[in-house]
Amino acid sequence: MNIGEELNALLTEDKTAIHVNVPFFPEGFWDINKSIVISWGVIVLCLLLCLILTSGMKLHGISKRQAMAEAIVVGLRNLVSGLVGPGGSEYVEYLISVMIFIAFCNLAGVFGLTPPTMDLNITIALALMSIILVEVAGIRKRGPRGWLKSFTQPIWIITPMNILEIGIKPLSLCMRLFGNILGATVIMELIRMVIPIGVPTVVSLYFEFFDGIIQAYVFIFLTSLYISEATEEEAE
Amino acid sequence: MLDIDFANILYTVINIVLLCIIFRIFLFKRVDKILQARQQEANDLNEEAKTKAIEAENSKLKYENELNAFNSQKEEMLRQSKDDAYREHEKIISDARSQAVDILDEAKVNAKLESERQKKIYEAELKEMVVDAASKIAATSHSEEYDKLLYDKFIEESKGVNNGSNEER
Repeated sequence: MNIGEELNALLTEDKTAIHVNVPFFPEGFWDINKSIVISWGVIVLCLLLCLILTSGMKLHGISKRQAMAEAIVVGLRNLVSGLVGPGGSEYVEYLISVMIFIAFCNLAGVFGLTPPTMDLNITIALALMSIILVEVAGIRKRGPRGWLKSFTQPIWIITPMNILEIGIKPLSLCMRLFGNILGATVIMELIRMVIPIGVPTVVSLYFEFFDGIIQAYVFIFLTSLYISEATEEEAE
Repeated sequence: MLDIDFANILYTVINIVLLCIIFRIFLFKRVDKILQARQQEANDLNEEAKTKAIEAENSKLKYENELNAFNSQKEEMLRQSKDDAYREHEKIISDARSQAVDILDEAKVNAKLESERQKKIYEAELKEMVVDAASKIAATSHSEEYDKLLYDKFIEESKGVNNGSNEER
């Protein structure tokens, strides 16, 4: 099998993991993809990590596990709070959860699994939730009239651009994440085909660990930026 | 992989909401509970420290006031003691002076009395001597030379008596 066939197989493989047939719906409509199953695994892993890290928490004489849990929560909260600004502090926990989810999903490739974020449906869902969150934050801050009025800011002539942004922002979020992970996976596959021993391990440090975590951060950074913009205007 | 289907988007949304709930319940709430308890403890300790600092400041002020009162009392006592000592000193000196004057007066009186007593003794001896001399003259024959000798002897004895009286004084 040559490289082209290999990549074609990777991109066109049957992604259905569980067939679900629901009456009155077309066959295969509710089928569950492999990426969803892997993301369940990610959720279970996150739950186990939470339980391990936060079990037997004490006020004094804390364990290393507890110290790690506190450091993770405080560190990530400070990081995301700095990005999202004072107006969006109530969305910090959601953003941290999404960041951890994306990071773990991106790291799935390390264990020989296909990263769930390489499935367009996952990134579309993440991007949709982000844009809904951004717009909801804007509406909550400014009220419906203020939110509608914000489309004419700073001048009325760019109103169409502002309306288009509602679609462009999630599209860019979705495609950036999908494209980066797909690209990283394709490159890793190519490297594995060309030099199967040694080099993939070293290169995966960048493409799977570094790039995976960076992409999770970038996704949250941009979402935070949009929330910050949506909530800062009210302050002005 | 590139197909878009509504069901999987919905599954992902549900998964993310579920993950948020899991993180909320099993991570953030638990850690926040500990952090809040620690913060509360720190606040309590801070409040306690502030209260103790205020108490210490009050104690310090009280001590300083007491010290100042004690110092003024000490100064007062020292001044009083100095005054008492000065008065006592003056009294002792005054008493000593009056005693000295009394002693001197008494000594003068005693000296005068002694002088008078010696004078009387001297006069009595002189009278006896004159009587003795007169009786000797009367009992013996007289010649010019013998009288002269008697006079000289009398004068010599008188000198001896006089000298003896002076030495006794």
